[in-house]
Amino acid sequence: MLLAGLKKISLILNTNTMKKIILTLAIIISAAVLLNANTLTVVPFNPIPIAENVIPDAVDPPDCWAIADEEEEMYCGYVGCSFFFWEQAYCACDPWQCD
Amino acid sequence: MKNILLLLFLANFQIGFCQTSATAVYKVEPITQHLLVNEDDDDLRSRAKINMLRSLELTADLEIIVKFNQDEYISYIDEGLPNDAINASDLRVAMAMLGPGVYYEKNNIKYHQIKTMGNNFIIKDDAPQKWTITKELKKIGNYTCYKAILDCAKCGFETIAWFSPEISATYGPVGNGDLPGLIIELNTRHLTIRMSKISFAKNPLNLKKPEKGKEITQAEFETMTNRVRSQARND
Repeated sequence: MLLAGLKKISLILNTNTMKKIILTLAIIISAAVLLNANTLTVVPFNPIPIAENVIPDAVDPPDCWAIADEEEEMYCGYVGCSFFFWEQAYCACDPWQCD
Repeated sequence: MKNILLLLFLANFQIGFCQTSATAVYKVEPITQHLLVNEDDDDLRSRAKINMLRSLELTADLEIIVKFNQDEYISYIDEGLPNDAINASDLRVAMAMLGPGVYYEKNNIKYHQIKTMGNNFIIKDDAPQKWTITKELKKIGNYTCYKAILDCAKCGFETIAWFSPEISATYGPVGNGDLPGLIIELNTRHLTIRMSKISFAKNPLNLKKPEKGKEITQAEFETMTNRVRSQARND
């Protein structure tokens, strides 16, 4: 049908060169259409799964006061034995309080 | 010949004994066994042990410098070169384990410059450390050392000093001293601090008293820190 249409046009144009050009173009377009059809892959529509908002188990913030006390006790024997050490142990655990 | 050798030996010993100006460097060996987490430890103790162990291991890279003249002394921690791989908070805890700040002493009055609670302080103290000297001896390097145990009612753990009367200085690392000879080794629950080298000076060293900070007494400082702790705990 396409060829017939083109032939009709070429008759209308009534020149040999034009005929050749139109035929060449028709072949190229047909080949391109065919090749494209072969390589076209159909991608099934799979909707992206909606991420489940998993709420993690509650994590308790460290009790820096208790940790610093514990470290101080291990360091020098009892809570209150070294303020310098206690202060640094606390700041290492909760640096925002010490900035 | 024997007499000449003996004279040379005595002269050498005498030179060493009379030296009253020197710079000593102390290395630190952390004792980590008791900080390993075991099954009986609850969560709090486990966390505390992990934190402490991380800091304690850093002490091995620190050195303590002691410089002294006959009646003047200074001691501080040498951090070495900055290392970005080391967490600054852990390093500060490590330094707190050793003895942070600058310790200075002149004519038996001690000054400890320290930054705490965001401010600089110079804590003044004239009370000497009290020790019980034992008959126990050991050789550390070239020095014969006597064992002394710190008399400290407030201390939770024992502190042992090995001092050598062969070096006539009443000093030691990070503010420890008041023994009839330089402290060559100090043993605490977590650390062994041992002198690794000493260089004697012919002329007195130029030691500067730390100036930066508000001067307060040891008693005033303890009152202040106790108040801060109790106030913060109640908040």
